[in-house]
Amino acid sequence: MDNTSIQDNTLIQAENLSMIYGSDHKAVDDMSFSSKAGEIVGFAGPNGAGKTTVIKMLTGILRPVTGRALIAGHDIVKEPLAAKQSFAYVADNPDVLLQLTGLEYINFVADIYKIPAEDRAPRVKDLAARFGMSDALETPMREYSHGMRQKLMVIAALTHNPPAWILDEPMTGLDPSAAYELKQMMREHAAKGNCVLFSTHVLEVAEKLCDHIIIMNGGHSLYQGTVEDLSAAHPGQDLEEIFLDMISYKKGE
Amino acid sequence: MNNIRTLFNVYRANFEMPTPKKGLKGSLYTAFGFIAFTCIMLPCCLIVGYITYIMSLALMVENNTMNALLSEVHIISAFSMIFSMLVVFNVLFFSSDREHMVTLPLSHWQLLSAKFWHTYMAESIMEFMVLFSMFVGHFAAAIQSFGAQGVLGPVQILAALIGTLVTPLLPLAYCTILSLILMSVLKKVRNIKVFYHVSTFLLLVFVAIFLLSFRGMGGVNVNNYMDSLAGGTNLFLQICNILFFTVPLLGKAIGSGSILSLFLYLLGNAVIVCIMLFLGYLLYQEGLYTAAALGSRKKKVDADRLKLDLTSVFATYIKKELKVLLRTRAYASNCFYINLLWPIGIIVLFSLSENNENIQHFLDLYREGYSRAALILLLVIIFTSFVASALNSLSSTAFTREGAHVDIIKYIPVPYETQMYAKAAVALIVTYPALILTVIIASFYIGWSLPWTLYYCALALCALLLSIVIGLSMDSAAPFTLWDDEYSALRGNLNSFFNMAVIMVLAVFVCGIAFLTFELTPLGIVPVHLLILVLLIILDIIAVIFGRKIILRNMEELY
Ligand SMILES: Nc1ncnc2c1ncn2[C@@H]1O[C@H](COP(=O)(O)OP(=O)(O)OP(=O)(O)O)[C@@H](O)[C@H]1O
Ligand SMILES: [Mg+2]
Repeated sequence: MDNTSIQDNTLIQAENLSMIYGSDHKAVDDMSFSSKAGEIVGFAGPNGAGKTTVIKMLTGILRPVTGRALIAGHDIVKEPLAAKQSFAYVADNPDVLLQLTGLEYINFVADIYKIPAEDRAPRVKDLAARFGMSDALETPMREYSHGMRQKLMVIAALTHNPPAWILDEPMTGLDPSAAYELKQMMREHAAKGNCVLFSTHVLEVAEKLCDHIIIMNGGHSLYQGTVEDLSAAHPGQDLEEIFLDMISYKKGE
Repeated sequence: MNNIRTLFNVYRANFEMPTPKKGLKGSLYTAFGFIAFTCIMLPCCLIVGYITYIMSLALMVENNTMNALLSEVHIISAFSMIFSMLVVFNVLFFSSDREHMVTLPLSHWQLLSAKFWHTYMAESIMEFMVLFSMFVGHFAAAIQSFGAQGVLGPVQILAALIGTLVTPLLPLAYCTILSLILMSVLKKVRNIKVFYHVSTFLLLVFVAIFLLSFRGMGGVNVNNYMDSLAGGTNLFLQICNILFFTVPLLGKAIGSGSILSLFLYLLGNAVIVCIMLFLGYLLYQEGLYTAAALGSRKKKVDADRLKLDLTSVFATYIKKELKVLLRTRAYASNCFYINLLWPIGIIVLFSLSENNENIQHFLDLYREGYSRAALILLLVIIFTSFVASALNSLSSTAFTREGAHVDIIKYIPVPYETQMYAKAAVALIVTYPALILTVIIASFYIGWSLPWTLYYCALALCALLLSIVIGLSMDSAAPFTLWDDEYSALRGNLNSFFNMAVIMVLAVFVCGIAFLTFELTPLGIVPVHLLILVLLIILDIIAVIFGRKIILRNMEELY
């Protein structure tokens, strides 16, 4: 257990993470950042920037070539189970175990995270109602629409309500009301002293929602800090213009 | 036509499982490929060729040159239809590339054609080899009966070569036609299950015809079958001669070197393929629409009565695996129900051979305590136990079956060890009962005492365990997770094929030891039995100790 992280409430910490695919494709190069309790952190960057790769290193899917990732103070490589108990993950592709019904999937996930039945029932009912999924729970997921699958992944992840949420493009495919609910939940979750880390291509969402944003391109971090600081450093430009400037600047190099 | 070729090439490139080409893993894969070829393909071909040879020889004595070959080609065609039905159905209507392909500016018959030719190439390799062996077996018998002159003319050889490549077309084309028609006739049913029962139905029809050909002969056995073939009264042969109408033409070309027959044979196949393409032109688009709109009935959900109980992690993981297995048609038939093959197979075997003198004589020798008969039986049982445990590819596709979402293994907070045991447990739970049942049925026919029955149950368990450990180790080393439909998860997956090869080598090794100890040492037959069990237990212990480490390491390095 890493006492320093507990003291300053760091829930997600990435230290010098690098990832190489194959023998020489460096997808992520020396990324460091951290996210404290109560924070919402947004990941932005063009396609192929390395966002999913970073998230996969945080969640233990990929082993970092260098550096380490800590979730709630637990090293994901050295203490994988404790670390994995502490986060909920929604992958960028919601097509998982489509032969199961929504409810069976939720129960599977809840069993894995050992959620007792008395906690499970009210949460599932509440979440399903908020996302308008109550009537679809006993339908096999292969008959869901993309957005319904996405919502169900979110419901299953949130049923076990751990301190850190790690969401890879969670808004993709959600209708406006579901997207609103999700944003609302992210705020509530952070306000209770937890943290949320998500990647997105929608800069307005990042701007409105995040306390902290990380802009990356080509596996490098270009900016880390608050949205206000970013705007202050580029007066007269909106976030989109700043973002485009940043990545095309890198490209021209 | 160019479009079709382009699509065909895309399917082919996509179907192939990426295999390591360099380094130790690369050489291992090459070695596995070689072993698989020599241990699976060659023995199968030799056996088939030999059976054809024996049957042809027997019938040729009675002046019936072709019926043995014809009936065997028919059996192969019938099997090919039964097994291809679901494959074709999935490839045509339910593969996940469907939605992308449909949007291309191609006409539907072109799409159909590309899918058809790709399936034909991908599915028929084994069939090519089996057919080839049959023709060789037939020629061998013919030469022995009539001399090389007149038997091995250029047309005959050409006909056999062409027949090898073209014969699998007809059953596959029938399956395609049947799928297209069913999809449009059953459009109103809108329930996917109906479609899936078609192949079971086909199986029953063929089995019924096969059994009917014994009517009035006083028993289902090989002798009666041969008699009806010789007399030309065999119903199965008669019906199949009409159904697979090109096969008799091929028979004529091979038997008498008639160029006209060969030509008609090719023409017949071409006509059927054209009919298929024309039907595709008429019906495929409609069928795709129907397929895309299928679904199960929506249930009303009562939020207060949802089942939300806590189950242990291990149990819930097993439950999830079993649900996926049973609800995915490809897995249900190829991994689950296939295990019934052994208990049913043994019943069929014993009832077919009821009047067979050789087998009855062998069983008499066994019952009298003749130890070489016991040895042969032991070898057969060892070999079958190994093959039975590997055939369902439950363990050798355990990771592959996770598909694109193999990530889930890594991010859920379940120790890899637990997940590994759950996967192994699933293979055990599904396979072992079928093996026990088989042993019990065999003991009923052969008359084993209780200790012997228990002994063979233990033997089967040991073989199964070994095969599970090897399957899991091989699949976890390089799982093939980028498949389009579940059938390619099973068939495109070289791991299960290679696994089969390794298991066979192992089986041969254990059989060899049993044989050599019996022949070369003064040990009696009972000690040899015990020795083999002990050997398997030792192998199991070694496999579990090392396999566990290998699998866990592979799971950690997965990606
Ligand atoms: N399995 C893989 N094998 C090899 N290279 C990969 C693999 N996955 C990703 N990459 C490469 O890593 C780089 C980063 O990919 P990543 O998926 O992390 O991007 P991303 O920022 O999530 O993009 P997007 O916004 O499109 O989701 C890309 O150049 C990609 O080609
Ligand atoms: Mg991504």
